[in-house]
Amino acid sequence: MPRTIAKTEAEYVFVKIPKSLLDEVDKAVGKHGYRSRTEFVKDAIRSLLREYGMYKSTSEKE
Amino acid sequence: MKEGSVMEMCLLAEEQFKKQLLEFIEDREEPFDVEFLVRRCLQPVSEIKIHDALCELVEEGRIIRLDDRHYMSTRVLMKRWLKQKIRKIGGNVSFDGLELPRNLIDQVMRLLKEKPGLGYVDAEDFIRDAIRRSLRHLH
Repeated sequence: MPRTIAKTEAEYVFVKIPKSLLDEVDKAVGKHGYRSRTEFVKDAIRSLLREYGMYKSTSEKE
Repeated sequence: MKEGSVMEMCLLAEEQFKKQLLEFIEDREEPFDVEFLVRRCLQPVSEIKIHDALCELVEEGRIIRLDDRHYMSTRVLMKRWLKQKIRKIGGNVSFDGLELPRNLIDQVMRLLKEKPGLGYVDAEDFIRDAIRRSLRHLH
């Protein structure tokens, strides 16, 4: 279970990802207009959730 | 009874026997031989019949012939190979941390709970798959 981190505006969860995979993400970030690796990962999660018919946009905090 | 239907019945019985034999040996951890199977059969079955069934299972790729006497199920060999592979891979992987919004992770957790058939082990497994798919999509 990912570790929870409390931040001022929203609650964040700390997730472990293999470094080699994040290196690939870093390469794609600049090329495809993402602001950061986190932005890319969030977008990837949303896409897959959408594919399984589960994504609900909740707030701007995401 | 027609000759054709007798043949069909014999073939069905052989298939049934092969299926039962396979069920018996699939999870057997140690290599086995024909004598072991003869000893373990509840009903008397000839050694030749067991040997023929084993040969067919080898041809179908369901079991592996290790040497003249010993066989092993492909399922057990595959499990052993996977265990070794996972141990090797796991030993070399280094991780990095990422902070993600809890509400997004909650949606992932809900999906895993509602659809366990998707095969994800945990939220991190889902996230890794999501990243890989996105990367593939971009390339």
